Amino acid sequence: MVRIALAVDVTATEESGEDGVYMRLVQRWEEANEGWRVDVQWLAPEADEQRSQLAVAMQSDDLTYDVLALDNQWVPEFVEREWLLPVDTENELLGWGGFLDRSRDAVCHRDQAWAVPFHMDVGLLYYRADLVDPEEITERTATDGWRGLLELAEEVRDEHGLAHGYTGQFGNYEGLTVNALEFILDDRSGADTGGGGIFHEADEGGDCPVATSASGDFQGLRVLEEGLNPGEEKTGVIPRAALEETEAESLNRFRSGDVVFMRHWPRAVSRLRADAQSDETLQEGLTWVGWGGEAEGDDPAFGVLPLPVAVLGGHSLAVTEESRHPDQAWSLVRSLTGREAQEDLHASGLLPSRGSGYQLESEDPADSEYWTRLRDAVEEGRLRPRTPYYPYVSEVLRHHVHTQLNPFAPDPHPDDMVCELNAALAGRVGSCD
Amino acid sequence: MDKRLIADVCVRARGGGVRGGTGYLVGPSLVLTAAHVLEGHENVDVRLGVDPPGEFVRCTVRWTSEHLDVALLRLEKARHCPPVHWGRFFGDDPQRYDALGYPDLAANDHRRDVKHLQGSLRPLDGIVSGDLVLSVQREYTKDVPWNGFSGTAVFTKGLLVGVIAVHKLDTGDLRAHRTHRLAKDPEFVRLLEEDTGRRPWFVPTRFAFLKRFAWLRKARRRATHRHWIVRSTVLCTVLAAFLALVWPGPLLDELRGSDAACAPPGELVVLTTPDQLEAVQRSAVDFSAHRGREEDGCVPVRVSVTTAGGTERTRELLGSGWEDLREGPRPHVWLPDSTADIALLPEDAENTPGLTVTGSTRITPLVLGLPASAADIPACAGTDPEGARSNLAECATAAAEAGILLARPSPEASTSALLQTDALYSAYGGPENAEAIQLAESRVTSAGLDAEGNLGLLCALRSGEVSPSAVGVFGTEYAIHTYNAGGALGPGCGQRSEKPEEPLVPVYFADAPDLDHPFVRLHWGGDDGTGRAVGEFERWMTQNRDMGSDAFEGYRAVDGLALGEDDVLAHPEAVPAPAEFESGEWRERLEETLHKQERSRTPIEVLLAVDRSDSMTGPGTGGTRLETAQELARSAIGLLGEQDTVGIWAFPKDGSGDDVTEQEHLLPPEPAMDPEREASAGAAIAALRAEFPATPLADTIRDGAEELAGCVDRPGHPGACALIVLTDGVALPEPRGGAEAEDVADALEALDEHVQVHVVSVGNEGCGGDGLLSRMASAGVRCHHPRGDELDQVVYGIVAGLRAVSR
Repeated sequence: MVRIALAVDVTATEESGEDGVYMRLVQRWEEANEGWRVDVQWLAPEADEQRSQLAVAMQSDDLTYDVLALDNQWVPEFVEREWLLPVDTENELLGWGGFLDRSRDAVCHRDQAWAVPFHMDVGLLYYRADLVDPEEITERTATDGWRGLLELAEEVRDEHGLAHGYTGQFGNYEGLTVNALEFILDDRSGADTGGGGIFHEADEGGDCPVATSASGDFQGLRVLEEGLNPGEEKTGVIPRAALEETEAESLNRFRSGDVVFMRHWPRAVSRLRADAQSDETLQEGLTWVGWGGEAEGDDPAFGVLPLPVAVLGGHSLAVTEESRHPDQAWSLVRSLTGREAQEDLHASGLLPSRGSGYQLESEDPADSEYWTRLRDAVEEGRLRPRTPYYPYVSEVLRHHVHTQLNPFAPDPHPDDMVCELNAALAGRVGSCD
Repeated sequence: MDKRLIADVCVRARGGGVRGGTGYLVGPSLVLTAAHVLEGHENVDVRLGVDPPGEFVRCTVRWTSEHLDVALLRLEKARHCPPVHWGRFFGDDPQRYDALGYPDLAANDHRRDVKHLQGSLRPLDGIVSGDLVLSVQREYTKDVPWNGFSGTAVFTKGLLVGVIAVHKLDTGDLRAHRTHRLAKDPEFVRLLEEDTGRRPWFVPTRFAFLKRFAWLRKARRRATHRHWIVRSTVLCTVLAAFLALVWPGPLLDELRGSDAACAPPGELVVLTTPDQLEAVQRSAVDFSAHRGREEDGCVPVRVSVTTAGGTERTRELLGSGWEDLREGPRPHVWLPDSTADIALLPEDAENTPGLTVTGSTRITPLVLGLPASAADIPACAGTDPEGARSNLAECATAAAEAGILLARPSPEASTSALLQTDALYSAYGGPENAEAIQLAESRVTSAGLDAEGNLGLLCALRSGEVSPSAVGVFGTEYAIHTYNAGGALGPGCGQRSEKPEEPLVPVYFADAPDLDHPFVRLHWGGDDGTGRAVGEFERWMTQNRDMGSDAFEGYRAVDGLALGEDDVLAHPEAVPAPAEFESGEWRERLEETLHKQERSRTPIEVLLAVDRSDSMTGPGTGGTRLETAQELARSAIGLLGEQDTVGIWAFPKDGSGDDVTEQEHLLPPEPAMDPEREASAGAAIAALRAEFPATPLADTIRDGAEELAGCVDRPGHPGACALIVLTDGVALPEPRGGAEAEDVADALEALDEHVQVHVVSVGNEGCGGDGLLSRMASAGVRCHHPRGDELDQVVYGIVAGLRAVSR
């Protein structure tokens, strides 16, 4: 029996996860490997808890997994703790060359691959195609980045009488790290554009550099802060309630027509399209216009475009150092990440980690265009800081961002933030008072 | 450990016979093995690598130490050999090891095969003999043949720390001689230096990261002509180290940071309650930083804090062995609200982990928070912890008589509420006073607010459902302090910029115990090497006043003095001795209190109607919409007692087509929720499948309302009744010929104030707009569309509100 720890399958509708794409792929391997069974251990839905569960299991004597599904940003930590076996990228059965560059970057540490990319994720900008011209969005974001986007959001909100302009995932969890990084990493140099927050990589980083320090004034956060708390005379273009919201709440906000723009993962496309296409809803629904599409009439419609800066997500599969069945474990990993499996992921709305997964034939040219652009978005997406201390770095970043965005919290100290991030990137306690 | 360097050693003895052993290539031409393997050898062959192994090649015995039972073999032809890192097993905690060799027990078809052994080395094992002990008894019987495993290299953290030499037949364990003793043998050191170009450096396993700097220790001979450089480097290093120690500021950080990588921190998981979550999280962050400062700046441990679904669910998980990891990782430490929580763990549960209770971490008194404008009730004069305290029952009675509505969290879900309820009921003695207890129960829940915990209840108060100036809240001093300070009160109740207009004044009671927040270590079997970290965390938590953290502001230390930087709590002169909760006695007592509380609540009737149309297979919160509805239905049933009446409907009635307008009455409303009926209700809910096309929502609401008309006159005498419809609000098309919103409005208009009709949306449809749910709301239905983390709170609110009406 091969034991695999899997994160909750977002394509499954049953709590058991049995009807999701993960289990279909696992069952396919079982059918092809008679006599072998896969023991799937489902982990908690929250990413923070998943990592904690895996770390506790790997620390202990008797809870041994053969294969781990890892959020890509955990790879350096798990490598440093000597929990993973390196990937034999020369193995022809693996087809290493077929993976996207970005997905290979995401699993690299110390000049070696330690996990095989499973599927990717990238933040997208959802817009109300019936209210705003996609060309104008592209123009504003190209010039002024996030500041341009939020200004446009405010204008459209006021023109059409919507409650809000932009929303994302700003609750105090990993989503806040991702959303905040997208503002921080915007280094557009227009007037007052902000940016300037940079994670530096070690000089000797090689093919897969590690973030070792941070600098700058993190002005990108000011743009976000002004979007939430513009002052007493104005209403924030981002709803204050978003400070407690996650993916589900932001999607509901966009779906209900409260907001012009939303930052979300690609899986929200299929959810919104289902609203409009099926008999499942009484709401009018938003018609899908595709990547950068325009609405044909006044009916509510939505499309997607790249964010000014998008941060990548994604999972990879690693074989553990302690695996009792490494051969079968690698075989399972190869099967779950092979071309055929990637097509299944595509069909389920997940982003393949292989380039071929984006080139499937479709009768709808808009659909093909969408997947092509999605692939570009992945390749242009930014990895979160790659460090063995990622959970700590994320917590420190999140703490400071939450303090800065929360109007009721004590005054933030940007210098402390840089100082504490630098300490965290070295796995150290900050002495920044 | 590098599998390419594993050596299969084949020894042909003089006079015939062949025996095997294992070795490890430690230099281009040197193989390390056990000396006794070579006894009486005529010739020795080795093959390197295991995947697959290479060809056997002849070698000679180059060096042996009978005393250490170690030998070096020399290959005739040197091989490529990556650097081998030598180590000295060192540390306070168990450390994982790897050992890969060729024991007979792994032989397959008379062919030698490898065995990869893994486990933990404990620092104190083998302390007398000085050997490393590989405890393998758990997996292998004493008499399995370990022959051939002698000479196997043992690795910890990538460091070669031992060579297996002995199989102890009496205990079954394997013993390995520590390799660092070899450092004292000049011949061994010389041979290694000659073969590898560097002297072996035995790195303590605790500082395994230093192995990366092994290249600094080049062979003396090669560096002879550069002695002055080496000496200069050493001098500079010493000087830099001195500066790093004495020179504060950025240079210190840079010097420290530049030459010492920190290992990623270990993981510690702490389980606590929703009321403590935020404070414990803050404290855990401070703890990690504190430990980091103690450990040369590196953060050695990261603490994850979880609540695992609340107090009730925690008891279930701890009682059942925490098998379902979707609830979060198995915790190392449990910080319950009270020692009473430990007493309440399921009795005789086979899978409950071992518990070590090591005392209180801090306390918070149980109080009644009265609105400041109504805090002059004489029976509730105990507002000063330094002065005389009030009697809980007398104060509750007086407050109710003064027109104050009262609220208390559910005792099933909140230990503080259970303890307060126990103190309240104690004032009324035995079962002969059931009527008085019933009256007292109705008083303390008269506000119709309910929640799982104290902060949640104050969140409901803050949300403005009732007027804060007319409501008193049972809770803890810490929760009242947080509310008054405008602090965060849990999901959906973030920090406020302004303090409440009507702050609550805490009334202290002489007859209610303080919450003592004990520190409980959990032992799940096995060893994950976190013992030391748990011990440090225990010290941190139990001595928190001395640690310089303000995470627990609003709590008190065990001596009663306020914690945190600000002097926000009055200091008492004397603190009541902490209550002691003996498991057997207190479990019985508190369970009896819970039963009394269930019996003494005014009876209500709840008719649950669950949508089983096919759209309920859509994604809900934590599963399908039907699964969300089933979970809510179970929560509602859990809040009902034996005096209550419950009925369960599912809609549509079994049948095909879009136009079915009837429901299936799975469990007709009947009084007396005994365990048997509760089980029947549970089974009926579990059996639901979302597989029918029709969604007769309006019909169900109308029919349910008509069913409940006049319910207060039925057997069971419920004081109030409610229809609770759990649906996603999707009905396309609505059944032809079915009820319209006007029919629903007519049915609702005929109801008196004792009957309520609620619809809870478990899908994406909200109560606004122009959808079906909106039309039902316009017809008079109370429509709810909670967020994922508010689902339970909706059910608590409906049931508590209903009980308030029933009085």
